[in-house]
Amino acid sequence: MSTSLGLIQTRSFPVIVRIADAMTKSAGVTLIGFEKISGGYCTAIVRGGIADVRIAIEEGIELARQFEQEEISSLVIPRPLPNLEVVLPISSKLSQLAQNRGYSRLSNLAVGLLETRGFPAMVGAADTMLKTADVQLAAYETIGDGLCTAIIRGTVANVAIAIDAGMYEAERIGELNAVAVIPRPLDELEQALPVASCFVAQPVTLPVTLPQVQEQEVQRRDAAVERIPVYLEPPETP
Amino acid sequence: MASTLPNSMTLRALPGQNGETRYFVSGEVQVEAGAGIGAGVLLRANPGCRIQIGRGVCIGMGSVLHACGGSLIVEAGATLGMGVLVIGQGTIGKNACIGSETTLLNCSVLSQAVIPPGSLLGDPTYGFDLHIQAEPSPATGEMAPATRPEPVPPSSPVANVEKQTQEKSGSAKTKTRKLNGIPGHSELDRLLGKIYPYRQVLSSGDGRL
Repeated sequence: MSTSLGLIQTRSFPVIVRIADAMTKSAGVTLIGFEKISGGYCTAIVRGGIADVRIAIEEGIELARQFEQEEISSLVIPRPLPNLEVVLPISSKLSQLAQNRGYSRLSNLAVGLLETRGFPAMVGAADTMLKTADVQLAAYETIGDGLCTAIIRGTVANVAIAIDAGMYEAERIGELNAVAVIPRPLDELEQALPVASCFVAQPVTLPVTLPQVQEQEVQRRDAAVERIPVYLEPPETP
Repeated sequence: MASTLPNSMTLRALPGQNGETRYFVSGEVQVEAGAGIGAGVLLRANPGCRIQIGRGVCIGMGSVLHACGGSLIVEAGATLGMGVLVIGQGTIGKNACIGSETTLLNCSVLSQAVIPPGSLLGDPTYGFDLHIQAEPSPATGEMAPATRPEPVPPSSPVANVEKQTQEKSGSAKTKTRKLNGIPGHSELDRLLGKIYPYRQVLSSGDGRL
């Protein structure tokens, strides 16, 4: 696997998710995931051909400047060595195996993110958002430095109105840090976002019923074997 | 208070001399009952802004009130003379009296204040001159009482106005600026504008300016 690697880091979770959305839509890159070290630093990791990664990272930096992020740091490595991929969480297969989770019931819906500094403001804003529009609180995410993000899902109109209402509530209670609305996230972005366990549908467990069926078949075959010699012998002898 | 124009020059330009009694409204304008609005008055609120005319307000003919960048509120009992031009945001306090041909640019007027005719308030390009005039207020204050009976020195409305706007909008403005600077806020606003094109007109705009 000799694909290039791109990294971009900002200090807000909604902003990095919005940047990741723009990057995956700007070029043929794959979003591997978000690396959240503490202190509010979030990094989006993308892989792909060198041209695609360069386009995506440039796009990401431009968007981060629009969002007035002071501390942007980014990196493009055209050909990372295999040792790097084994140790660091930058390989797509590893992250997929590590997650190993079921199907989210909230897929194919718009995403809204609201980040506050402090937990009460986020809880208050989440409550207001749920009461304002037909949205589901999918999960929450903490990235250190007192920043926590509520992630809501719903149709784009509901999400936009909910975020608008939650914004004022968060500002009333505490400190609002960032908001973002993603009308139509790509699959890989959805997989990279956290989802609470209550929204994850586990696949149907078929193997549990299989042994019983096999046992019945074995019994039937035994019964048939006993009967066959009795009826078939007389016609063969004459 | 930079210039005073001769009244004869400006009266001729006023509309409404030929039986015209209408005034014109555009945008989110609330006119409470009992307000008297002269002929040819233009009340215009930009999208996201509003004009509120209180009870018993009197607006002389040919005046133009144009709200932009916030709400423009004329409180109850205020009187605006002929041909007054009010642009921007601000509050004209209760029972204030604005002389004819006055121009108010983005400034508020205290309640009970009296602005002489032909004044120019809140113009940033005249700010330096105003400041110089406002500072030696005792000097102008001594000259003024002879011509103006009100106890307020003539230059103090300007100084007070500035102070008042700063105090009044201080808490609200920092909050608005805070929200506007939030990453993603402008993007959300654009998105909402696309989803609900008439949202700005429908919302009352309270606390969201």
